[in-house]
Amino acid sequence: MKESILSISEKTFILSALSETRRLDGRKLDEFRPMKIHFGSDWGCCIVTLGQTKVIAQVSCEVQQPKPTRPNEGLLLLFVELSPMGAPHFEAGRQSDLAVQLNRLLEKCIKDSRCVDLESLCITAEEKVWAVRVDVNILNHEGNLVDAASLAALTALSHFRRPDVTTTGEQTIIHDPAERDPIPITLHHHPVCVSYAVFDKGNHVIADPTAIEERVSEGQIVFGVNAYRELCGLHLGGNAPITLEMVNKYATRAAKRALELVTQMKKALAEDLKNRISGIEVGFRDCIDSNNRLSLGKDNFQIQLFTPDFKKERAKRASNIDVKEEKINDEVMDDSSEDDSEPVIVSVGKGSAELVNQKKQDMKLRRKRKLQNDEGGKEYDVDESSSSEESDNLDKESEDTRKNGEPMSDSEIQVVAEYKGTENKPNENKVIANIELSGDSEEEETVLLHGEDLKNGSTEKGRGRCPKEEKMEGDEPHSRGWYSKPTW
Amino acid sequence: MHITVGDVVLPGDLIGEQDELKKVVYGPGLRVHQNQIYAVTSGIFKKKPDANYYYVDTFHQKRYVPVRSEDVLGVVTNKSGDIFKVDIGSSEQASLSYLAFEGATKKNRPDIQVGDLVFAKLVVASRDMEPELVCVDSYGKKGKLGPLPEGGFVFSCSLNLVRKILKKDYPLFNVLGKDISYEISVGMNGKVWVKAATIPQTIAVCNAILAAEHKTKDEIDEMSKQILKMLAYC
Repeated sequence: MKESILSISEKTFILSALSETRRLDGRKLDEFRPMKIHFGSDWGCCIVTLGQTKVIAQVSCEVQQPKPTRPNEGLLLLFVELSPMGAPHFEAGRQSDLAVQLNRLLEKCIKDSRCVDLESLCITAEEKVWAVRVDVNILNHEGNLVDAASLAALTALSHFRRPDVTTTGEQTIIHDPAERDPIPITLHHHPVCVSYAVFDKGNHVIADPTAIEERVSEGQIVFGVNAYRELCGLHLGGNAPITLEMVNKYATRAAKRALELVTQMKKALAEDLKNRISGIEVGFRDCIDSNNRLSLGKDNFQIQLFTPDFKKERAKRASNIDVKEEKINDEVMDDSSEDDSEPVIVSVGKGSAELVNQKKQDMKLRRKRKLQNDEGGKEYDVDESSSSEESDNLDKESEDTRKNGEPMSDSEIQVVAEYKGTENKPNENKVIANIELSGDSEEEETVLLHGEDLKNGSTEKGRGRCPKEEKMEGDEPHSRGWYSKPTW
Repeated sequence: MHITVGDVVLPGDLIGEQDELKKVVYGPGLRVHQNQIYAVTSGIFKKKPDANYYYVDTFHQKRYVPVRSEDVLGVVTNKSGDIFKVDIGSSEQASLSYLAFEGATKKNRPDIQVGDLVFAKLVVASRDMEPELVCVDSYGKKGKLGPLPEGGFVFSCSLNLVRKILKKDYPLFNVLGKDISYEISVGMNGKVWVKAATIPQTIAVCNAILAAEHKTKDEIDEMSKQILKMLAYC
């Protein structure tokens, strides 16, 4: 069946809504739909849902002869299939352009980034290697298949266990899972795809487009990024003019999203493993919620004013407003290094330091902000020192607030809470940057902290919620940043 | 097994024998085969209260099966020769003659582009033939039919919801209309077009319609209030 054409009304409506920074499903422009991971009872089987988009991935393996050019490497095969189950216009059997594109994007992201240790899949060189096959099936198409498919493939790969093998002379024994525990596949890093859609000649870029947004968009940017902020693939589609600055800007955001996804994936994997060890039966039936009309999904309408998360936030904020305290956005504190007074570097513990603003400076800025508040208009004097991303966010927020006459975006809610904290403990300092001073790296890393990080930072002694945190805990190789980060 | 009105039927269920003497209309979901009446879709077997009209009510069906004299909302997908092809969500695209508009002559063609929305009536809806639409009534007047004005937003919903909101005593539109002024056009094929003054208002109305599907009257009141409250923040 051919895909039905979009009416002019739908196109113009979506475009004009975007020009008001509004989306059909109530999300903000840079907001993603909730991602969920469910595991099947078998190893290497998972369903990933991204809003209403559903993707199932299954990993299997068999013994094969290696390629003559790579005699001691296993094989990794990726297959994406679009069946009419996903959307009526997908044809069964024939590989469509979309399927080829998806396949290639996944290959770029997972195979070409060499995240799977293929050498560990070798049994005997030139003779026998494991061929690992990842089958990705689209169960429902509601936009952004790439993100869901890549995460499904990666999760399935990390979840998969292959049978153990012993070689004695010429004999190769493949052990039954009952006999010997199957072995997981080694993954060096976890790359996932994060996609954005471009509208209006690059003036509007939205994260995680839905099916209808994808169809209206002029172009799309797909990043393959891993948790270390390394770019593993980049795809620019469509005919929208995409500038280098845009790519840089959204690559940074994609890296942040990738970290979230990988963290979520690891958490889900750990939980699944825990369940399996403790003997709880695992399977897809858990993901069917009998309280809902739709299995695998809450009643989340594709057309709504606000996302449920936002409604919750708003309720929270409403209760805060009742206190009628004058609360001032402290986000400007990020940039105080630009001001006259000297920031002070304070050591927090071994190997890290905080760049701290002086109290006086705090008060001065606050007074300034208060004045602006009283005047009604909410102007943020954000400055060049903060990253373009952040100033952009702030701009948007201030736009919102100006329109509505009162604050409503989520970061402000958080900031309100944070300000309370500083009120109670007036001497508490602000974390500006986290400078790595330990000896094992030549590189100095400066991480720009966001409002929410500040909140974490004040409780966790200056530890940002950024790739660094993982590096500190894990024994992974150090400092692999690709993107130039703002330095002080 | 004897099937009576109100029972759940499945395709192939024998409902009864055709009575030659009584004048009975077999509506959608029923088929007469060798004097036997069979159900051809799954749903609830129903009878219209004031007529000898039997049909199978299929809830939550998304695929529209054209029925004669129903008003549908479609997207013009093609202009070829003297007909427009209109996508009304059925298995086959419907045809709409350019002469089937008010005041249209061979020289005076209606101004319709590919991608435009039309609200039209089905005049031919047979299972073996292409559905055919008209935008005039039997007096040659357009009434409420015809191309929809620019702007607004169109979305699809289940056929059940469309039938529900088209009931005369359905409270949703009146409740919403007290605070938002909007135009709406509901096709029996599950397509709804909404146009309000602002974009948030349009989204609010669409949201309210979609959310109302499984709600009672009181819940609809409550939900509308909620949505209007949310709208105040836009």
